[in-house]
Amino acid sequence: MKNKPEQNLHVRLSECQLKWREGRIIDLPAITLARGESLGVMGPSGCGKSTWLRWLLGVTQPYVKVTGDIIIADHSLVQRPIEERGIGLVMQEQALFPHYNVAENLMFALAQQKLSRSKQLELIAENLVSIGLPDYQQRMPHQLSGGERARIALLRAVLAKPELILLDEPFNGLDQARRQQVCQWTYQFLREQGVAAIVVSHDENDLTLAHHRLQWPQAQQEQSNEALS
Amino acid sequence: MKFRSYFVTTFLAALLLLPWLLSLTGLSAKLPLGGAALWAYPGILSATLQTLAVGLFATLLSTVLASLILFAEQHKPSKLWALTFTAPHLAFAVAFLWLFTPFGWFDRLLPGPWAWLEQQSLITLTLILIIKETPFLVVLGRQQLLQLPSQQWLMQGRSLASSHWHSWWLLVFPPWLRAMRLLLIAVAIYSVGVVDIATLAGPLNPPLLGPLLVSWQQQFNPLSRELAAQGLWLLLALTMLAVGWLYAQEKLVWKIARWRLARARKSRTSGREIGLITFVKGLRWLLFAATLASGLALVALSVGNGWFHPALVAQQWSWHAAANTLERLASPLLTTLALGLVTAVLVSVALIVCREWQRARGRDYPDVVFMGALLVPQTALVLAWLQTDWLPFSALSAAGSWWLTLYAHAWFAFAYAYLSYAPAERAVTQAHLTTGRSLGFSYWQSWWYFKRPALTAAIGYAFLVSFLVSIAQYVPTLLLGQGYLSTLTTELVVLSSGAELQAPAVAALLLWLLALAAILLCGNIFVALASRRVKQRQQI
Repeated sequence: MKNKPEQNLHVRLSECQLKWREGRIIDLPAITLARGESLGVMGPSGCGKSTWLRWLLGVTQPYVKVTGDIIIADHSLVQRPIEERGIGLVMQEQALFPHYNVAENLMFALAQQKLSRSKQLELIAENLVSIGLPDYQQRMPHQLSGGERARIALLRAVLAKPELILLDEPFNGLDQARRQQVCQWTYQFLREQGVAAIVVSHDENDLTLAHHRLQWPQAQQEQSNEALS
Repeated sequence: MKFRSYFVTTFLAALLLLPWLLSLTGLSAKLPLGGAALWAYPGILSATLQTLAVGLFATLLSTVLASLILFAEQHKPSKLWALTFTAPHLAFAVAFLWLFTPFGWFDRLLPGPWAWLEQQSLITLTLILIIKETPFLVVLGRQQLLQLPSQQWLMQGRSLASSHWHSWWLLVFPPWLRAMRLLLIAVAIYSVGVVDIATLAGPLNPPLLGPLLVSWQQQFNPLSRELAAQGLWLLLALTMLAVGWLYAQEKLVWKIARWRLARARKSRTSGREIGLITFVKGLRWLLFAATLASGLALVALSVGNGWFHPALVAQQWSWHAAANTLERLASPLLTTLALGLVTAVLVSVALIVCREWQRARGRDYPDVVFMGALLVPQTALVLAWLQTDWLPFSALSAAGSWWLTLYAHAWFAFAYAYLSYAPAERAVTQAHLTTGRSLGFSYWQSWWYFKRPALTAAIGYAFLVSFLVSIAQYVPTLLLGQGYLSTLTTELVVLSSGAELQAPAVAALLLWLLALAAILLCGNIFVALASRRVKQRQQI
């Protein structure tokens, strides 16, 4: 990764080690991201990328021990619960709350900004226009295409004003043509919004537009004491 | 060999639809309108209101408690629920009343007026129902929760700066409540029409509508029969009200959730919310302790002789009197076992056939079609069957009543067992079965060799549920058995109406032990089968 001026570094992840119960170990390098920058992380399915993302988010995972630090805007987040980290999440599976319509999904993200209901609705209408989905407020998630769902999920994450957004295989389930279109839109939107992002995918094509790339390292096996002696 | 759809359809129609047809023909056309004899019965208004109150409060409070417990136990679900859930409710009620009502054991142990509960009152009955229905809703509610991507919703909710508490109530609770709709309706209908526990712990003068209906049906005079026929409609109307209330409750929850969705909320679970969770966790242990204490009380009462108020312990401990009662209960025990086992076998076969029939037709019918028996009060259905002219005269003989009771047990047990078997069967792929058929095996041979191994636990569980439902049946056994049949449950209600304590305690203990033995036996068989499969795989 290129060196950047220190003051621009909004997200700093120290060197990190993931150690599974069965002895598998992954060592990750230190990572820094400025606002609006994205990191693409590539690796095959089941290699531990999602486990790392969940650790960044703050999900307790008893089967793996992770050491490292997450510093955003000069604050260490490792000890904080999910809701206080300011880290958003977008996933392809269950991208939206299926029992609420588009407006309600977006309102959930706006709730903490203490806006009046009418102001929230106004903001939602504006933003839906800006992502090319005007008048989608009353639609239920099952009435949307995969691409539309992906765009609204990203908008919802951005509306909560996070410092960092994690995108876990965000383009899975989209057909090839739609995948490329949504992928381009996603990187552009993140850049425009000035939000740092980490995009995880098993498909190299999903990451070509990321500012930085990280190839998920090969796992090592912990050596037992007997073997060492 | 092909899947014999015609034969299977006839079998399923006979098993599942015939009772509905009989009920419709048995319904009296005399609705209890303005001048009906029913309204002149002393205390009928009070009985109606109390019946409705028990049904609504017991269901509402059990639902609230179960949902709080599910929230509190998200990361570490207790295994003790299974034991509490399977304790026969009548056996539990007998012990509970002896422990916690005036002149009961805790009243003797603790100084001051600790026994707030009357032996027979609305509050006592509601409390017992809540204690029994909450574990039912927790165990089955957890299964429903597993069908929802609740962890993903919670993770996303929290990543949008909403606390765990708020994410749960706004994102998970409303869809969970919707998924629980049928189960909650079943619970409400049971609570409105409850007879067995209401006879033991419910109010007297007037009793609730369920026991009233049964007593009218058992009196052989035209007025009582007319009252039973009219009361049946009243019970159905109360059931409709309870179901309507559940729909309104669900709508209200969605309305509140939608309203709260847009409002600012704390990003951290507050002290008050943590306090409530801690309280619920404590309450959960109280439920476990009450169940355990009830089991121990039954053992003590069974072997304690001369145990009069205010003695804390019995004058003498001996198995002699218990053994005498056991001798008396041998025949009801055998009948209970026979009915339970035949019901369980019949229901397990019917469940398998029913699911395969749907697969063969390429249609997955809604669960409500097969759970209908839980959605109408049992007493109303049984009374309608007894009042129909379509029932052959031979059904009223000793042999006929046995078969009729078995049919009723199987019908009611099928609805409960379907609840557990259908989701498990849906999760198993049909591909192996199809592969087996392509290799030249018949449909059922393929099912046995390729699909059954994946369903062993689900079939075993359905067998267990059917057995447990059968041994707890009261109204169908009492009314359809017509005096020819006596099971542990019917015997327990008869014995509990007297002043003696030991005989009902022995009957209740026997019922409880029977349920426990069934659970342990089925559990061990599952483990043995599972380890055999693991060994077979390792050998391969």
